[in-house]
This record gives sequence, C-alpha cells and structure tokens, in this order.
Amino acid sequence: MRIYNGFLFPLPNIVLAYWQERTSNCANATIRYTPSLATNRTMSEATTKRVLLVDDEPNIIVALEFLMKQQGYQVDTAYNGQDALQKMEAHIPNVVVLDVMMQGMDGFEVAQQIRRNPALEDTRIVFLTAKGTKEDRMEGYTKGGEVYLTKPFDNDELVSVIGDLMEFG
Amino acid sequence: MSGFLVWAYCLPLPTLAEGGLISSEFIERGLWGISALKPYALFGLEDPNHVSHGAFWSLLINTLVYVGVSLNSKQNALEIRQADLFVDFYKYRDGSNTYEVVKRQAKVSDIQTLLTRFLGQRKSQAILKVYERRYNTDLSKIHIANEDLIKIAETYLAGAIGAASTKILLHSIVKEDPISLEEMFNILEQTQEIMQYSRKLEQKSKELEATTQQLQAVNEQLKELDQLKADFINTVTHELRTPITSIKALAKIVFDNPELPQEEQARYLSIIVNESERISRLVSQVLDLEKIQSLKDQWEMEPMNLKGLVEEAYSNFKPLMDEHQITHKCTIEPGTYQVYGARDRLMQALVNLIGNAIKFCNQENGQVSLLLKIKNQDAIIQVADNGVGISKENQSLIFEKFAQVTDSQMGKPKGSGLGLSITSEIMERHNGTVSLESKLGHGATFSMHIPLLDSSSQNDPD
Repeated sequence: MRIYNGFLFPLPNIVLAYWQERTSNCANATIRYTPSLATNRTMSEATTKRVLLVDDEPNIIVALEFLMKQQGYQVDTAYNGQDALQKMEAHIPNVVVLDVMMQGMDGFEVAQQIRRNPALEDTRIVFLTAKGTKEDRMEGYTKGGEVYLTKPFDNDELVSVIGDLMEFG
Repeated sequence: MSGFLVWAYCLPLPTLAEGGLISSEFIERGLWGISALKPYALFGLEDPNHVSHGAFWSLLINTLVYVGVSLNSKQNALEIRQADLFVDFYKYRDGSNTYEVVKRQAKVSDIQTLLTRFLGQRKSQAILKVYERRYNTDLSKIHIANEDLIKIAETYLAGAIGAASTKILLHSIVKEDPISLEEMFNILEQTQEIMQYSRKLEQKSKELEATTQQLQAVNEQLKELDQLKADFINTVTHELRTPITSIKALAKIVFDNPELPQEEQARYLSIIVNESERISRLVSQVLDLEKIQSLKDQWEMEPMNLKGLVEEAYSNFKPLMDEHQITHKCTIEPGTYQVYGARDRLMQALVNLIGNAIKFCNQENGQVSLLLKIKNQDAIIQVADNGVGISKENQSLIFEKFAQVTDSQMGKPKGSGLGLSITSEIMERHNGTVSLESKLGHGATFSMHIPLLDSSSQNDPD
C-alpha cells in the first residue's frame, strides 16, 4: 500500500495513480474511502499530497503556505498564471488554489488550460478570489473549478475544503 | 337690363299697342290676363302720368336686381377666395364649402390620372371606390365627371399638394373660366408659403437630428462615466479585500497557534500591521481622489512660489533616502517660480512622485533627483529615478487608477495604484500636466508642468 515509501522523494502523483491502477484490485480504492484509515494517515502518506498556491499577493501566499504546510502537504507557489502553469509541468498538484484577478493570464484562463491538459485530469481547482458575484461563481464553475471561495476566507473552511478534495478527489 | 325691360313694357309697348301695331288687349287686362301686370298700373299702382309711372318701376326693378345680383356675385367671389386659401381641407370637408361652379366639366379618366400621379395607385383607387359607393355610380360607365367627383378629387389633392396647385391642375383638365390675375397671385403666394414652410420643416428636422445625435453622445458619455464609476468601486472593493484577507488569515494563524516560534509570530504580525496601513492608505487616497474630483471641495488657490515647495519636499524626503542609501540631489535653476495654486495639493502631487521614485529606483544603487526649471512660460518640476523604467505600452496606462506595472517574479509592488492618478488630477486643476519620459531599463522621469503666474515679469533663464 505504501508503495512509494522506498523512494527518496515522492513519486509524481500521475505515476502513482498509474502504478496504483496497475498494481491491483481496488485495495487502494478502499483505503482511499475508508474514514478510519484516512484519519489515521501517517505523515509520510500525507506528503504525497501536493498543493499549488497561485496569488499575486505575496502576503496571502504566506498565510496559505502556513496553513497548507500545517496539514502536511507539499506546497508550491506561483505569483501569476504563466508561472502557475510552469510549476504544474514540474509537479502535478492534487489541488490548485487559484486567485482570479491577476495581471496577464487570469485565474479563469489558468483553469481552462488545466482542464485542457489530460495530464492534469485529477487536479482539483479551488478558486479563492475577491470576486464574489453570482456571475463570477457561475463562471468559476463553468471554467472547471470544483470549489469557489471568496476573500477574505475562513482558515478552517479552506483547510477542510482542501482536505476533502485531497481525500475524495 | 331688367330696368330697361320694365320701362319698355310700361311705356313704349303700350304706346305701340295704342298705335295699333300690336294687340292692345294686355293694356286693359294685363299680360296673360293678370291684372297686376297692366302696363299702366303695375302691381295695382296706377299713375295718371304714364312716363313717371314707367320710370318709377323701371328704376325700382333696376335697383333691386342690381343689388340682388351684386350681393349674390360678391358672396361667390368670397367663397372662391376662401376655398383657394384653405390648406387644411378637413376643416372644409363638411360640405359648407359649396361654391357653385356651373360650367365645370372634365373627363373621368383625366381625374383618375391626376389622382394616381399625386396620391399613388392604391389611394386613388380607394378614393374612387368610396365615391362610387357614396353616389352609387359606376365610374367605368361614365365618361364626363360630374361636380361631386371633381370636388372630391380637389379635396384629396388639396390635402396632398396644396389648394393652389390643385386648382391649377384641375383647371388644366376642367373646361372652366380662365383663372383671374388675383387668383394667380394667390396661388403664387401660397406656393411660396408652402415652399418656405417646407424649408423651415427641413431645417427643423435637421436641427432635431443634430440634437438627437448630441443627446446620444451625451448618453454614451454618461454610460461610460457610470461604467467607470462601477469599475472604480469594483477595484476599490477588490483592493480593500486583498489586505483584509491577509490580515484575517494571519491573525487567525497567530491566534490558533500559540506555540509558534517568536520570529514567525513577529513576521506574521508585521505583515498584519503593514496590510492595515495599506488599507488606511488606500481609504485616505480614495477619499482624496473623491475630494479632488468633486467640485464641492473648494481649493484655496493663491499665488505661491514653487521654489519653497520643492525645497520643503526634498528636505522632508532626505532622511528616508539616506536611510535607504539612495543617492539624491535637488537642482533649482535661477528664476521666479510664482504660480497660482493650492499649496497642499501641489505638495501632495509632488510627494506622490518622489515617493514613487524612491519605491521604484534601483535596489542596490538607487538614485533620485529633483529639478525645478522654467520652459515655455511653464514651471517644470522633474523627478527622476534610475529604476527599471516603464515600457512604452505601460506608459499610457500608468496614470489610470489602480494601474501598476507588476513585476512578474515579485508580485505587486506596495501601494494603492492611485498616487499617479491623484497627481494628474491635481495638475489638471492647476491647468497643468504631468508627463513621463522613460525607457525600459533606464529609469523614469516624471515632469509636472505648471503655468507661471505672470509671464511678463519672468526672466527666462534659457
């Protein structure tokens, strides 16, 4: 079950997913959805979860980074859309936390690019933005976001939402 | 004429009869046996003097007939004139306008052609159908048009082309008395009036069109302004939410994690303080901008010297620049820098520029320089830095509200993005401008141009 424990560094998620699918019969799937195991997950198990934080405000990144690291996730950061797409090429994240209003490529556009990329099929998108109108939310969901949170956010809510996405995809 | 007849009947005729030339029977018994018509005692009035009797009756009849005829004919002429002058035929359609034209005659086909030409095929057919129904006739069987048909044609044509023109047209196909000179003049006058009227109408409609266009333009402008305002509010809200987000999240982190190392706590708290300052800065700048834009805020404009202003601003910033190890200098060319302005506002504009220069100058080897000079009747304050500069495409954007040129690696620079728009608003209020000269990688120079108060008393150092 902990097939990646022997490696010096965690395998990229897509390789793991492929391996898990190949290696066998729904053992991993049950683990994934068994609450008792999920709550008892070890630190090393959690390190496989990777989150990419995208925001053009460094101070918001500081806060997000602290919260995500506290949960034991691997954290990547990016300050704009282009940067975010590059970081995702290097490491495929389980969850991307995306600001919307950014100079150059905005968050919606980044989300579209992610959805067009088959390699990022399993990556879940959380929009975290000051744009809070109904229309903005609708656009967020149509552009491929799973969750739409508005700024200022609640730390606990953000952590639990991302936790759920990590757990159940 | 009638008087003559009466006279002839009363005098020469009985004389002839008495002479035996014609039968004298009517003298005794009256004409056709009517006693009232006895030549020597007309209507029973007998006079022994036949001459005076004849003269009396002939004069009386003559006068009566004359009065009668003249009255009758006068009324006719009046009606004709009235009919000529009417333009709005609906007023006269009720039939009160029944001037007699006894001799009018026209072919039905001619009238049909006329109606078709001026009213169109469909309308003329409709009119003729209405006529047929009303008078219960079949026009295809009648060759000569009667009075009613002519009148109807006249009424409809008058509505379309004016009464005078109608009259001419109908005269051309109706065999009638020729038009009198007076009528001709009336017709000409009326045509002239109609032409003037239509010219006026044309002018009016052109004016209306122009007004409509103006209104549309104004409407567009208002819409644009409204959109700008909405955008502004959106941006302000966004700009406020951003620091609040960091503050809230970090405050919660510090609160939830009392076991955090001291340095880490201090780091988060300092971010909280900075972001709070950012909010209050933003709020006061938005208020400033609002104050500058609204005319309610009466500025205290007065003659003032820019030299003192520049020196004061420079000396205020000196300690800060020394602290950041920025090389700085201030050059004031000789001259009298008397301008008409609001001192506090000009100071605000200048402080914004110097603040930007300090913020954006080269990190390691910063240089900021101030220059005050005169050029073309304008006082010019230049603030130059040696930072990365601003690219051509961003130069036009930079004076927009909240526009900031973002460093792709470092995220946004600190600031609200309102400073330069405040500066340019202030300059606008002083009939001045703020301009930018910059090349990417070679720093930026901002210049405030302020018109000098009295150009004649200035000695241009150039």
